[in-house]
Amino acid sequence: MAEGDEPLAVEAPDLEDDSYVLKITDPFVEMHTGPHAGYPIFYVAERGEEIRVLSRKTSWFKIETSKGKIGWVNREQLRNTLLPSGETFTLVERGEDDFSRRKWVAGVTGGELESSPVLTLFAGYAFTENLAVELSFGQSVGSDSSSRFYKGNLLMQPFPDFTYSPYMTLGIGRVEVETNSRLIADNSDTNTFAQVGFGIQRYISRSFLFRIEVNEYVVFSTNSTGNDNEVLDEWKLGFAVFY
Amino acid sequence: MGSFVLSSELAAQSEEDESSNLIEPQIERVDFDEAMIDANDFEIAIYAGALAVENFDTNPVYGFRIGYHVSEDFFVQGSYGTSKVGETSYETLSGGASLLSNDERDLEYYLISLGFNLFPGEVFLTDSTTFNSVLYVSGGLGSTDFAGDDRYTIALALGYRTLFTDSFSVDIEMRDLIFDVDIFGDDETTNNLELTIGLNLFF
Repeated sequence: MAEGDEPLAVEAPDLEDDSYVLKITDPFVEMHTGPHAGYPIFYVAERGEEIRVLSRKTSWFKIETSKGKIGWVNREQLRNTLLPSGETFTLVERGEDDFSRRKWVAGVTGGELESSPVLTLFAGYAFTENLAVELSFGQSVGSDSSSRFYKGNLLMQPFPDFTYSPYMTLGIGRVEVETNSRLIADNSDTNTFAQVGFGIQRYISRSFLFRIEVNEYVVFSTNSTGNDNEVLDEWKLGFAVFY
Repeated sequence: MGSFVLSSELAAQSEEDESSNLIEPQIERVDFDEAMIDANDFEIAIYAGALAVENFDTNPVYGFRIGYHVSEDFFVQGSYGTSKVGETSYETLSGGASLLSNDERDLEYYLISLGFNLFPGEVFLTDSTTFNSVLYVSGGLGSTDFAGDDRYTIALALGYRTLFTDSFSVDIEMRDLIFDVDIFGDDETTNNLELTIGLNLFF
């Protein structure tokens, strides 16, 4: 920086065009033609070059150098080699802190409900670290019948700081069971159920978590002979994105 | 390193401008928050093509999918597609016998898939026009509603994506939808091949 009367303050993030100006302080950064390690390196930006960060895709940042080269740099290199002119630089990433502060979560699980495959989509909101509410929609397709269910449940997580954090769920919902039309012509039956479950979830990386869960459902069904409650067991595992 | 740059600049500036008082160092910690950078991790796509349903002819299929790119290698996708199957050879030849009602010929599926970007590459259109591309594979689970029943479905796909810009790509995908059909009595596993072209927006 030869221009002595340039303001000393960091070149502030230029938010108007959604980009940051940074300066390379390590010997070099490698610029790839695309956001994947498999794309070739076509340019090596050297120490002292200024770059603008244009956009991001997964862990790759699209940058433009002061010489007009545009390419992709991995997060690792950006973290280790870049500083805005003379100032302390921290790359704020999503991570475990965000995990414990998460508010919204959405994901998918797969498993077995009474030995039939089951897929579930769910979304939840955390009121505190320990208490969340979740809504889910699932479908189980067996050889003789298929069922769709809608469920709302509370999720209690007593030890949010554990790496493998256990949780309990309590929920209610509606289930629609449709018997295979080859057995009985269009027989569908809708019932209310209650559910209790236990699971373990773990932060994986960035904005992802993994969970494994077992559930027990009590379906309040009635038939011609009176009450005929059914107990169903389920296991499933899945992952979710959190915000 | 950072402090060295700072101090030399301080010295340079005070020499040039001696009338000014001590410079107040405006040292602020600058967080480069990647959440402020425009990201293209999500995708939404519409696609159309042909679906060959075993015994039931090849017919147009339409659908959409929503995806999220977890890393440079992995992505997750949810997709929904719909088609209407034709007649079996038996139905055509018998000249009237119908195995399925009109409603039962509607086919709908949804799938949740995990994909892997296998071979990143480039498409050289002219000597100065190059687009990034990627050959990907994916496997998914879901359900197909066909012939009046939901059928547990496994899907395997191979796709080729050409990225015309960072936020737009065209995907050509070949997918096998594997599910059991019991229309002819016993359960038989069918492989139903789908060839589609999709328009993807990344955001």
